[in-house]
Amino acid sequence: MNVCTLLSDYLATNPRLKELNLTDNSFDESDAVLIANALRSNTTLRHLYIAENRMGDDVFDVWCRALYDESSLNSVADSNHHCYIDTDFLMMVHNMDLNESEDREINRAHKIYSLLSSRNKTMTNVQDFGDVDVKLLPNILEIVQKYSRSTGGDNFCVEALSIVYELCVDGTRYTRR
Amino acid sequence: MLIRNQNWEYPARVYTYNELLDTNYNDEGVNYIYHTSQVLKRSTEALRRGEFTHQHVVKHGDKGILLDIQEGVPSFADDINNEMSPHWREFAAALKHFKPAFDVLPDDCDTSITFNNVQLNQEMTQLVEEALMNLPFKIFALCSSYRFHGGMSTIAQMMGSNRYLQKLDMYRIQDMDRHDITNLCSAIHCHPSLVDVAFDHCFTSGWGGDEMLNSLLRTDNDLKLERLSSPKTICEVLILA
Repeated sequence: MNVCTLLSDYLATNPRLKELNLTDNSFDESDAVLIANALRSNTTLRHLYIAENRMGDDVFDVWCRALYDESSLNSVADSNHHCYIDTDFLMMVHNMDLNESEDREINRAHKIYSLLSSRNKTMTNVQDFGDVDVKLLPNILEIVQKYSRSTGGDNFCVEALSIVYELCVDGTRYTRR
Repeated sequence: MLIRNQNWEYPARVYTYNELLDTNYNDEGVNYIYHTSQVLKRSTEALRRGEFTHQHVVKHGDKGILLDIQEGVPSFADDINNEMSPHWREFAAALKHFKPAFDVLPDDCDTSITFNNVQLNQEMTQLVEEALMNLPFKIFALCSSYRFHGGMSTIAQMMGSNRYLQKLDMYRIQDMDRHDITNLCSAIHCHPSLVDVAFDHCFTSGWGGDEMLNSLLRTDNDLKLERLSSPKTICEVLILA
């Protein structure tokens, strides 16, 4: 078995490991994919040091998908919110240093709000809520307000009111069950 | 035992540099004997006074014993290591009786033993090993000590005897064979309190790094480590059977 397969299988089991230093080794992009996949289910590792390996520029996307998969709100919510990865790249998306906080809930909220902000700029948030029960709308609005506080004055993020307005302005998209 | 007799003097003879120049040793040997005997004398005298030689390094209040032998010297033959034996014997004896100094420290004190560039013959390794087994230190750091006779078996035995050990830090220990790796990993798995292990620049060629990670991770036991540092370990990612 490839040692990286073994390592990723180990990480996926949520061991007690909080810090793993693999700097200056010979791991390549395919190894990064294995480790990144393991991180999706790992909630214990806080620091991964993996700079100075044999990984090209493409590996930035691999790490990003593990920490901030912005293909949907659910995928962002299901990303890894605990592990801080030290790579050859600055792991920043939308001016956000990924998983900077020790508190995973703050990291998760910041990412979700960043995606809401990003979509707000193109007014595409409401498409995601098309099938949501209208009764849940107050909860969604409450969460938008709450998560807006996690951004700490992040210039990338929009005002909570902009997102609230966007979600309310096209009420016909919500269903009543 | 700490000094009771205040007239105690370091008994092993420390030769002057000029005296050593009159021997048959080459310049490297002379330098090594001169500097190492000085280090061992200073360290032994400190231990006999009940003093830690390495304090407040990582954080305020930490206490350690550091043997920092000259860096960059070759691996010497037995004649030079035998020349150092009286000094190692004194050091090991002082270390063996140093436990009372540990006993008065607060529980949260970080205590360490650090050996840098140590070369020992077999007999002296055994003496130092026996001395270490009496001490409840939490951190053991071994750097470039490629002539530590008995290798990882010695380290594994020392680990097994110290239930307080929390961190094993190895830097440039490059002579490990499969038997060493198996021994060491077994000691890591069995240890009740070890949570932090570093193998830094220990495997610069071939299969060693892969073997180490495989031995550590491929096991039915629950690995208790919270920190694993192995930079410069995997030179080629190998497929292992």
